Amino acid sequence: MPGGGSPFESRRRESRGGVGLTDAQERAEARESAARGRTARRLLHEHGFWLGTVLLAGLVGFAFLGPHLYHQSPYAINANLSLAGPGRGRPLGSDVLGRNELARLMLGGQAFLLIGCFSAIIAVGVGIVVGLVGALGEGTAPSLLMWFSDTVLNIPQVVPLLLFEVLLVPNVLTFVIVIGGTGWPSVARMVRAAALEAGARDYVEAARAQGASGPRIYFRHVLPNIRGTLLTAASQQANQGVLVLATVSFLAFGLPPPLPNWANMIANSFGSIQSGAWWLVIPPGVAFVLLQIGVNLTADGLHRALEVRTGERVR
Amino acid sequence: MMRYIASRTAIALLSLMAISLAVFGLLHLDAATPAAAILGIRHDTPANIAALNRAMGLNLPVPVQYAHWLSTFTRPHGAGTRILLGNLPVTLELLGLGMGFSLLLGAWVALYQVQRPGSRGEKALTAATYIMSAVPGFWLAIILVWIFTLNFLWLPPPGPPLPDQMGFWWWARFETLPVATIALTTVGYWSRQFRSALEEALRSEYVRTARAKGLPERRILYRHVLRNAVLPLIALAGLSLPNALNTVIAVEVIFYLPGAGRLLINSVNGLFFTTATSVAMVLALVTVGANWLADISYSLIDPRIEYH
Repeated sequence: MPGGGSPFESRRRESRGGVGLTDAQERAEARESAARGRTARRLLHEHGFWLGTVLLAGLVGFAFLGPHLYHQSPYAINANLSLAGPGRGRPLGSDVLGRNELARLMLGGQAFLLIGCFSAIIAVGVGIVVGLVGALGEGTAPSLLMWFSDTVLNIPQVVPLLLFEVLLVPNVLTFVIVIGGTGWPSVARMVRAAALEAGARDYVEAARAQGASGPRIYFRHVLPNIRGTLLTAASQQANQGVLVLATVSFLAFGLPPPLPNWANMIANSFGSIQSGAWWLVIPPGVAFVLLQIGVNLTADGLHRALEVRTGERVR
Repeated sequence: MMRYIASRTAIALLSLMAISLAVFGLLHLDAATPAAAILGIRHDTPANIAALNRAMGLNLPVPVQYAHWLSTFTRPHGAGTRILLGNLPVTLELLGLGMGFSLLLGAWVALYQVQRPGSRGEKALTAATYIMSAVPGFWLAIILVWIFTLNFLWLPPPGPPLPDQMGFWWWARFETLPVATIALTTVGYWSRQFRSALEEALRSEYVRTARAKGLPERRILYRHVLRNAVLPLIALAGLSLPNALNTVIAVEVIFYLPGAGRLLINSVNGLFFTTATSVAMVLALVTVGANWLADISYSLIDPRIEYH
């Protein structure tokens, strides 16, 4: 998870011997290391963070461990059990084809979690570079990059996925690349705004005066100080990616049918809800909502605990 | 001022051109693909693909094809105008009403939260908006259809209106659920943005002055703070449009609304590539145009903005 930031800390301590730090900087570091202990303690009291972590861990366990513990086929068709409600042996009932809904729900989470996680990693990685260059770069590159970023930002993410669908093989990797590759501009925007603010502070000026190179300033001085923003951007991106994937899957352009996913489970049950089969619509939707809430709670809690530590404004 | 407007306009036009090239280029990554997709596995022999490419003009040089596609799009009775006049009004109606209600509701929620911080109502609203922003639009739409048209029969089910279902009342009943879906899925975002804008404005100097003058808190909030807090949201409205359109596309499909989103899905489904790319272009026209409008109007309303 981005925002952990320990590599930055260790490198900063190494640099102490090389370049003579002023008293003020040393005092600031001492304060910071004291604050780090407080961050951990503060995190203990962030109930939202723990609730979110438990939710996420529960969902990951449900999707990846569940199929190993609950030995029912998500594919076995049984016409006698078509649209059978929740009952003995089938806690969540069966779908139109009489397939076990609970087993499908477990398997259906895997693709979602994978695509959400990895597309967010891609989007955040590209977004960081573009945002930092956009904020602190020199010459025409920043404005050109930000123009490109804003242009991509203007396209509703579902549209390129729909157009790509015809041309590309729909699998997890394709979705990771396309969702990550169209999602980075919003990260870049947030990173740029935060980096502009962080870049105007004295310590960046001090680093520049000491002759630090561009990338060194970006990654050692600015990036650690905007990790709260990065955390928010990453969580938003994971949620947005999953939402886009769900919407596209719902519109029947998602991952190919035999493999269940929460969105096409909802899409397929749109017809059966007219016969009252609520157990096909509610559980995948609730799982999806819990995933989003889990990501948000975790990131928000972590952000709040970090915000005080990095001296950003506390709400 | 004029220079700022001119530069924003130039940037918007450049964006549109880039998007049109990307959308067009997307379908020409591989010249055989559209024809092969149309012919299907059973008929996609090289000879058939070549013949279909010739018939569709896909054997011409790509710049020529681009010019042709662009002229088809921009002609007075071309694809662009057809979609703009035929399908886009439905989409814009849904988007406008949904975002309008969302903004009003979000403003109300934020004003309530700012006035009664720490109260039970504030916490309940925070939790409710937190959950609502996690709900995917298409799922909410299905749940609403299930509750209001199948269980309680209060509203007409999704589908085109019958001949006797005319007039404003029917229209309002058909639009209720789609608009509610858009409004409810975006209200979390807007209430949060409104709230932080209000809190930011409440910290400013003029509020302290107004309080020192002894103005009642309500008057400060509604007269002074609200006006200043609304301004920054203009830019956000433009920025949130692409995400709102994602939901609108799904909602149009669920409720059988003949908007641009549904046309996009139908044309991709039926492999009508020219129509699909034209719809994508029209949607880009909407988002780029809206952001351009947001930038311009923001700079006109707020004279403090920097021009460069």
